[in-house]
Amino acid sequence: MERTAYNLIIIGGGPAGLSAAVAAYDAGERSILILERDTRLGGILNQCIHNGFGLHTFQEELTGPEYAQRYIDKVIERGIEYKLDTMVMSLIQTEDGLKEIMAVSEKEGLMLLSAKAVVLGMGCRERSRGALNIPGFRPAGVFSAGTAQRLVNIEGYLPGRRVVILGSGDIGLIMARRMTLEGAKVLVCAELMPYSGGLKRNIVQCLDDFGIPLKLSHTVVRIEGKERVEGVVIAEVGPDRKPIPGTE
Amino acid sequence: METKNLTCIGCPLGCQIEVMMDESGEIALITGNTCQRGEKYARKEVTSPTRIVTSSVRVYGSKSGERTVPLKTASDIPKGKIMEVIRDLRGVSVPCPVHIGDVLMKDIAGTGVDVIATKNVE
Repeated sequence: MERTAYNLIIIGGGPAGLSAAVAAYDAGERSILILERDTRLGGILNQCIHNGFGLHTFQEELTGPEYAQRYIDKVIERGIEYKLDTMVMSLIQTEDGLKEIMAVSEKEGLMLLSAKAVVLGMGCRERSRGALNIPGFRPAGVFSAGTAQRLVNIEGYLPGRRVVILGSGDIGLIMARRMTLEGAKVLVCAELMPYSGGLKRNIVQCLDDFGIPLKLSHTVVRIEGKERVEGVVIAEVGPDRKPIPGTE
Repeated sequence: METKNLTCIGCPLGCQIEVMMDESGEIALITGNTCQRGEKYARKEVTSPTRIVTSSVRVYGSKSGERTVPLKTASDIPKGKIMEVIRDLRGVSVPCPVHIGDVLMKDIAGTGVDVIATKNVE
């Protein structure tokens, strides 16, 4: 299979990949390719429709998609090549000292690429329910905050009308507000730690503004329901972060 | 003398701001902020708090198959009007293409502020 050669291949067309491409181009590199598995550039910023981005970089307050578009425009202005709907299958070091990437897309099929350097800009992954060791069945209606965010903001679905949020990271807080605005009732936001993992400004404008209670040192100990989630049991945790019996 | 404690929402720092009000309800002293933005926020928050509202509405006729377009109020609106803004957006569907900055609704909920698109949807 013929290899197509680039000096630099960037895996991931989100904020990290786009800014890496722009920085490399501005430093003189012209042989650049961005590989993105989604149907558009911008990555996770596309679903972060809230404001608060860009204060430092652009001295103005932008939403996620607006911020992403600034970088997409920079990439397009520079004529940097990118492929959408393209999934990287493997990345290996070859004997000639190059990196070899195998990627696949519906449009182009399987492709073999080589690069002198590769930038990995594939973001991070949320911890799943399994990783948190919550016992019980696996009913429908339990989502990670990021999945709920994609469903509401990109797909246009409301994944539930009565909501409990476990964890008070920024996306959890932002989804408390977002689902309230879309007509859901967010009953409580429970946080295992004695402090929130989210920004103070998000506690103010996502919970306090809407009267959503934040229960610190609390966690979900049981999920009720077999086919569809019917309820959750929340308990207080001690300094060892273990549930205190009798506080359910 | 009355004191109000606020958390600034201007940036990720989240400064704790203290606003002292005199007997007539006028602002006497603002402390705890680390920038001009913070003072402006505190002044507004104790007199007439405002927020930028972000949400999304349906689109139709998208060539790229997209279902929604995100939006925001072009400037901040009174905090008490947030749910009215959201109510006025319910059931709204806009034709594609839509571009960043396009006005989707004028003078939303009588605030005098327009609602604009925040993403390009072809």
